[in-house]
This record gives sequence, C-alpha cells and structure tokens, in this order.
Amino acid sequence: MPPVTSSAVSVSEMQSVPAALRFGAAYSLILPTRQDHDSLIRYLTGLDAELPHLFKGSANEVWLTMLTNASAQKVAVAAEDGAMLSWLDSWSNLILPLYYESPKAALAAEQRVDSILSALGEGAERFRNRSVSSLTLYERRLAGFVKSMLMEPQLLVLDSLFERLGRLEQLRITKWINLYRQRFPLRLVLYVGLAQLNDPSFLSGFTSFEVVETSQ
Amino acid sequence: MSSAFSSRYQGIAGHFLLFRDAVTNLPALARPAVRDMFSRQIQMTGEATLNALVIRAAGLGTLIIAFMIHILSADAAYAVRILIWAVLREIGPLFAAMLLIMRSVTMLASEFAEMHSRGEYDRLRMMHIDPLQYLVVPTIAAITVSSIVVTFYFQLLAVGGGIFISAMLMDVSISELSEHFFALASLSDILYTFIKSTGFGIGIGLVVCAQGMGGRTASVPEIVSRSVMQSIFAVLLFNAVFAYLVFGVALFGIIKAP
Repeated sequence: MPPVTSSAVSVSEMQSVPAALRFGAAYSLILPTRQDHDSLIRYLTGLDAELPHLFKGSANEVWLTMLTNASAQKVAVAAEDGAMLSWLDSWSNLILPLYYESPKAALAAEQRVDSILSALGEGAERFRNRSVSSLTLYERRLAGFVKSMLMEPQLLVLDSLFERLGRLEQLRITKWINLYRQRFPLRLVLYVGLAQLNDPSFLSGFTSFEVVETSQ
Repeated sequence: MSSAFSSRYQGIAGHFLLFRDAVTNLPALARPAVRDMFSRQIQMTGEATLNALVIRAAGLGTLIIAFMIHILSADAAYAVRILIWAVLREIGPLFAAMLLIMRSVTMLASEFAEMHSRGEYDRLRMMHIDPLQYLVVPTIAAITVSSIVVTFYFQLLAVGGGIFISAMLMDVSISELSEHFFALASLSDILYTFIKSTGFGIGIGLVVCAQGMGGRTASVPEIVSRSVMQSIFAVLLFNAVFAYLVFGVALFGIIKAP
C-alpha cells in the first residue's frame, strides 16, 4: 500500500496538491457542500463536461485533469445509495453492468457477483429475490461497490461510503477497499465525501485533501 | 441523458431526430438486457390495454350492425360493408390507439418522469449503459408492437363479437354475416390496418420518450398530461397524412390532392 499522508488544503494553496499522480494511490477529497460533491461526481463520470466551479483556476484543476486523463474514461462510482434502478430487483441490479455488456453474460455475471460477494465476506442470498426498497443503507453501499468492482475501472470513486453508518459497517467497508486495492494494485481510488459528515479516522489509508472555498 | 434529451429531442424536429436515433440503435434489441426491458414494456402497454378491450370492441361491432340494419334499414351485406370500413379501416386502429394512450401512455410517461427525478438515467450512464438503447429503443418498439396487436385484437373482437351478438339479437344469421364479411374484406384492409397501427405506435412511443425523459423542469402530472395530448395529436396527424396519401383527401375532404 502507498504511504499514508494526510493534509488539508484550500483551493488557493496550490503547493499542497501533488504535482503528479501515483498509480495505485488512494486519494480522498472532502468537499464543503453537497452541490460541490455532486458536480464533482458528475464531472468525473463524464456526465458533465464542465469542471466544477470549486476546482476552476487552481492547481486542483490540474490535478483533477490528471486524474480524469489517467482514468481513461474507465470510471466507476460506488454510490452512497448503491445507484440502484427501481424497476429491477436487487440481484438484477447487481448483475446489470455485465449482463448488459455481453449477450451471453448472464450466467457469467452471476458467478462474478457471487465470487466478489464471497471475497468481501458477504453472501449472495442477501440480494436474491429482494426488492431494492427493502435494502438497508449498508446493503445498498455493498451493492454499489460490487457493481463498480464488476466494471473493473481505472478509477474507482467511493461516494461518501463511510458516512451515516455504524462503526462495524465502516470497518467492513475498509476491508472492501483494501481488497479492491490488493486486486488492482495499480489502479486509482478516490474517496469523495462531505466535510460535515466525514469521519477522518477511516481515511487513514488515503492521501486526503479537504477542499474549502476561499476568497481568491 | 436528461439535458441531452431536453435540448435534442424536443419539438417536432426533435421527434424526427429521436426516431432516427432509435432506428439507428435498433440492433440494441439483440442484447438480453434490452430484450428484458422490451418484454417488460410490452407487459405494461399491451397487456394492460388488451384487458380493457373485450366488451368495448364487441359492443362497437354490434352497435354498427344494429344501427345499419335497424335505423338505416340497410341489408346485411351493406351493414357488413360499413363494419369493414369503420372497424377495419378507420375506427379500429384509432380506437385501439386511444385505448393505448389512455391505459399505457399515462403509466409510462409518469414512470419515465419519476425515473428522471430519481436520477436513474444518470445512474445508467454511470454504468456505461446508454439510456437511448436500454430504455428508448425497447419502449418505442414495445408500444409499436402493442399498437399492432391491440388493433388486430380489437378488430377481431369487434367483427367477430359484432356478428355473433347481432345474430343473437336480430333476424340475421351468423353464416349470412360471415359470408358477406369474407366476400368483402380484402388483404389491402389488413395492410392498411397494419401500416396505420404501426405509425400510431411509433408516434405514441416517440412522444412518450421525448416527454417522459426530457422534462427536467416539469412536474409529473404536467408531463403525463402533455404526453397524452401530444400522443393524441400525433395519432390524428398521422391519420390525416395517411388518408391524404392513400385516398388523396384529408380532414373529411377539406384538403384534397391536386
């Protein structure tokens, strides 16, 4: 694992932003508002072409551009609510990214999901024959994480995964992230969280930046 | 998807663009996930409408025959000729389209609008799934197939039910009415019905998708109401254009071919 560093920078403190990306590193960006958080996720996933306002005209802009270039548009978001689709049941939601990709992938997708879940210490029965609305917040995050692992992205974005969960569940999520990094040691991980909900103790393995609004 | 839809597929030109994009992406139906969505939409649109048809269709057929024989004192052959004209060519496809709009368009438009407000189109895009291929193509295809099936089913019930009930209530036999029907109905009637119901289905599907997925600022009831009104307009417009192309007249003879 890369060395652990922790720092808090503002958009005006350009020197605190790393000059280059380290492949295999895990970064975290703690943002001041929900709007900043959402627009960053939309930008990283290519839904919005425009750079979020908070990052414009600073060294962070360069860093973010490097990040998006390094991801080669292979970005997956482990969303805080699992990014589930309401018209599918939980299991169909889990296998959809693979099932959609390949005509003969339904069975392979099920096997992959099964193996990822067991590697994460969870069982497939948690999701079989269950509606999306019956899932707990932890289960939704697990589903979101499994879906992003299925996509094998260059950049895995962890969307506020530690927030609003109990200690035990937060510990389990740390294990998921470690497993992902062991499996894909050269890929990038970016945790995006909100300042008011963030618990820094779970981000010790990340190179952390707290991005704050400053008058420039 | 949402903002792209708002700008790209709005207005009449936008609907033509959506039609072109949907046709271009038609091969997406080969994907099992898209076919699953197609089956789901067929279930939502077709099945819901079919259940509402039986009594209405048989009642309409009976009404036409009874009206012709009793009120206009027409003979059985003439009554059946009017039945064919009305049910096979005009009222059948239109009535089926209107039922489809009332039963299914409302459901689909509100579902699409809710998907929109829950951010589910963006979720699809985050999984690198194109909502145009995954939602729009199967929806338009399903509404079109449903429109064709519902129309033929409606005609079968209207003609069959009409002949059967009329024979029971009036002084005409089933064999007499059926004989006239098979003598007068032609393959061109079926082709005519097929083209009309296909056009209606495509028109309705385009409106539902463009409205349901595009209206970021509108509320759900507003989107549903707009979808219903525009679907009816699309159906009537296609009907008029088709009548003009086939018969050289439209809008009851107000517009005539030169």
